[in-house]
Amino acid sequence: MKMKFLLMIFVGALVTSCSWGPGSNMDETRDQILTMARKGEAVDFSKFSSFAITDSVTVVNDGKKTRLSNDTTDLIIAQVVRNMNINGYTQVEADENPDLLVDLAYIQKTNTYLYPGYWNDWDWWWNYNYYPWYGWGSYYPYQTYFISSYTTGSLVIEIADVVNAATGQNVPVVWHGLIREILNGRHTQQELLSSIDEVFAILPPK
Amino acid sequence: MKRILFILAITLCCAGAARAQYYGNDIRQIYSINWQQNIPVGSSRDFVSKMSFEGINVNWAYFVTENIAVGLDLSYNNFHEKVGQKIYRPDANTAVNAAQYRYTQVFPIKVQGKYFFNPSGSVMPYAGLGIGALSAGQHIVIQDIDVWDNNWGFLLSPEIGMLIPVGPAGNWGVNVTAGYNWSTNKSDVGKIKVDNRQSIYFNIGLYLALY
Repeated sequence: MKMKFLLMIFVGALVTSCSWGPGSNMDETRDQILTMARKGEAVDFSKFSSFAITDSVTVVNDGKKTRLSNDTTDLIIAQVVRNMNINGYTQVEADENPDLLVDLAYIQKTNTYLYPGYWNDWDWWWNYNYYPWYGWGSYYPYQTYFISSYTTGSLVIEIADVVNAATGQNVPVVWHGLIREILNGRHTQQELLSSIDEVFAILPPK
Repeated sequence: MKRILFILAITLCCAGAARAQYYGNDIRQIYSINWQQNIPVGSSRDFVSKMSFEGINVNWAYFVTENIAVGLDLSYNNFHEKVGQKIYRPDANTAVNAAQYRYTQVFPIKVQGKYFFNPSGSVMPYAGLGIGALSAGQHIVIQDIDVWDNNWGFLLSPEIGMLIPVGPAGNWGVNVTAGYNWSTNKSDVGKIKVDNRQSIYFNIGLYLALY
């Protein structure tokens, strides 16, 4: 009897000792959010002073791309503008010869991991009749391996350098911000806005 | 009543003596398997500071004299800790702010000498010293990003413990050990410097004695 009891305790202890790994203990909503920023290594941000921003957000929904404009995207754009101002950039219209272009994308739904450069949605800028002189898309003048993949609910902010973009060439993305799991319907508007502040704060584009 | 106690005392003494004879230095080998717990000490606490309850230990000891046994000791431990929001900067141009999950999987392997103070007693206290190597696999998991390093170090570990015979024939029982692992592992995972690994460990388990 005593032996059985001891054995039971021992087997129990062994079973307990075998459970390991990340598990499901990251359930708190704030802990789901990941903000990540990456910028070009040899980029001299001091030569930029103005920027233009899109008036809509590219929405990626299982491979389909559309442009979205509503109250939420307006809030997102306003918050990005605020952060660009904080970093010393002045907003101008796209036809006023900006130094930088800010583009936004929202991964509404994806069944696979998407990586930087997936959408190359520079079409929006193309559709502006005053943006006819650059290439078909953007490129990253740095290795993107560390920019994590995009998942459902990700918001992506890209800042492209049009000062150094040559005619007919793709524009280099000099700063890239990613906020994961923010637009998955489980976060408040306040969390959305503060995560935008956060992605600019951890690695300012300057 | 007094008489009963007297008889009981005599019986216990005799039983003790009989046992002593039976154990003596007749034991040739001891195998034990233990549940191990670890308390991190020193700079490895900067990586994971929480105590590990996820450990297992197996030990083999072979008696070369009545009091001295040599053998092998293998363990596995998983130290882990959930760290809240932390900024991780792999280089000057990248920053990641997210909750981190850190874990270190530790495999200490050592040859061991043990001295049994009273190998014929009804409990068998011992002191031991192990020398070997320790492998530590350190991971920082940030969602699907896993930043990791595996490092080896020279290991030194003194320990004390005792065997408590339980079975009526005295060939199995409970093992209890407390010891200290000190190893030279160095690492810099996620810019967190660890100069060496130290931990206090406890083993609680069962042993089998072979004659």
